[in-house]
Amino acid sequence: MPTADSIYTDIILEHYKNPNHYGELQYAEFEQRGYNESCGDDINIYLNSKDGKITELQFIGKGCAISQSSASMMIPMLLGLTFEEAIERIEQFKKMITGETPFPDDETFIEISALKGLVKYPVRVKCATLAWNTVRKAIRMADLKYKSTLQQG
Amino acid sequence: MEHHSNIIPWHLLSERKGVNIKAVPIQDDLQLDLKAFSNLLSSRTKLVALIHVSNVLGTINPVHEIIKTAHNHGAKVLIDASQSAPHIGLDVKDMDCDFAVFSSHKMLGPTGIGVLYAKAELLESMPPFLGGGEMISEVTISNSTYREHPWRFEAGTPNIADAIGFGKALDYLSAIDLKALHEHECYLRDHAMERLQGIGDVVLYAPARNYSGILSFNLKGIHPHDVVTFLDDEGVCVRAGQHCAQPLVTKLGVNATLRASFYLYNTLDDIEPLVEGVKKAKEVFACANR
Repeated sequence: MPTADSIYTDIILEHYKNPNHYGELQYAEFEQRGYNESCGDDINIYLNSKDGKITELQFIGKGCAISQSSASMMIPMLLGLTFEEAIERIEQFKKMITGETPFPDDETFIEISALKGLVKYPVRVKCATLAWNTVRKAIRMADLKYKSTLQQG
Repeated sequence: MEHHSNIIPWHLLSERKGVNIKAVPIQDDLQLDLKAFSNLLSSRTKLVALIHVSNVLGTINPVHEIIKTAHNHGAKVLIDASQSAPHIGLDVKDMDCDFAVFSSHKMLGPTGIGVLYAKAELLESMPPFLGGGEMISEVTISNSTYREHPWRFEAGTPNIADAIGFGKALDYLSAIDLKALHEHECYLRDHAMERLQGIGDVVLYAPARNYSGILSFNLKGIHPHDVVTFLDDEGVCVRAGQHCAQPLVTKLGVNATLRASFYLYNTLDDIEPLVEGVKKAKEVFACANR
């Protein structure tokens, strides 16, 4: 049984304190806000893309250590992916964090697996998935626009 | 100071009827500003809808005085007794409120059922809000007539099982000395407050007078949802979040708070794990801030 100390590890706390890819992207093509009604966790995702691939991804946010560190660890996992690949990775993560599938022992998921103890704290899962659900919405918008330009193309 | 359940219905009404909604301001001592309340009343005020005991602060509002003032201006009064009915008791006649509401799930009963009380003359004058079986007197293809209250407002097959469960919970609570219960809860709340203050860096949102047995607080610089995971480990259940009272929590200047709620099953022994969990959260996050 994991305890809170095993979740609030140095990795999580370090990402919370010094998040990666943090800051507003004023020239972002897509901006998406995510908000957890029950706790007030708030996140803004900024996305730029080229030829159906994510080229820039940043976030700003206010909230608990889980929601913010999850966003910080997520971004490097999605940068450079095609929209389809990114959506698939988001779905993979969501299955892992809800305990449906185990966290794999590979390089991609090594850092984010710091959150795996949350499987035993289901009420915190929505904190961990906030950034992921938000970026998925941004990707959907980007994808729709990309496909419509292809058709016009 | 209201719970969303006493804000949203008025927003919905406002969309339909265009009513104006005004809020009674809260003073720095976490009591309602009664002077401002008086000034808000006018001959156009139709309804004063007020929480009896705040579900965030624990503040017990002076409902007798407020109801009297409102009645003097010709307004009806609805009391949200969700926190008072289970913890300090409710006497609708003595209070002279026109409407009162409370929920079963806050008084040891099943979820999804509650009470809406209204004075008989109001019930008699109100049209049905929902049509169906059981609420009718006679039905023809072209017309229907309705039964008397309360049946007129109870269309369809009721939630019988939960009503029986709720009735049992009310029997159980009715046999308890609520004054003693209130004292017990306040004793635990005061004790928890003292112990939490001793930890340092704990911000309390606690009125100094007219309060019930709940305690809202935060640990400086740490999100309440992070703290709550440490409390979870200690076997302590508290609520972390906005408590369905976003305007109030915003007014406190925070995103969310922790809230310890004491009831008849709690004892002094429950306070140590609470304090331990808060201490642990503080230690772990202090390491991160090195």
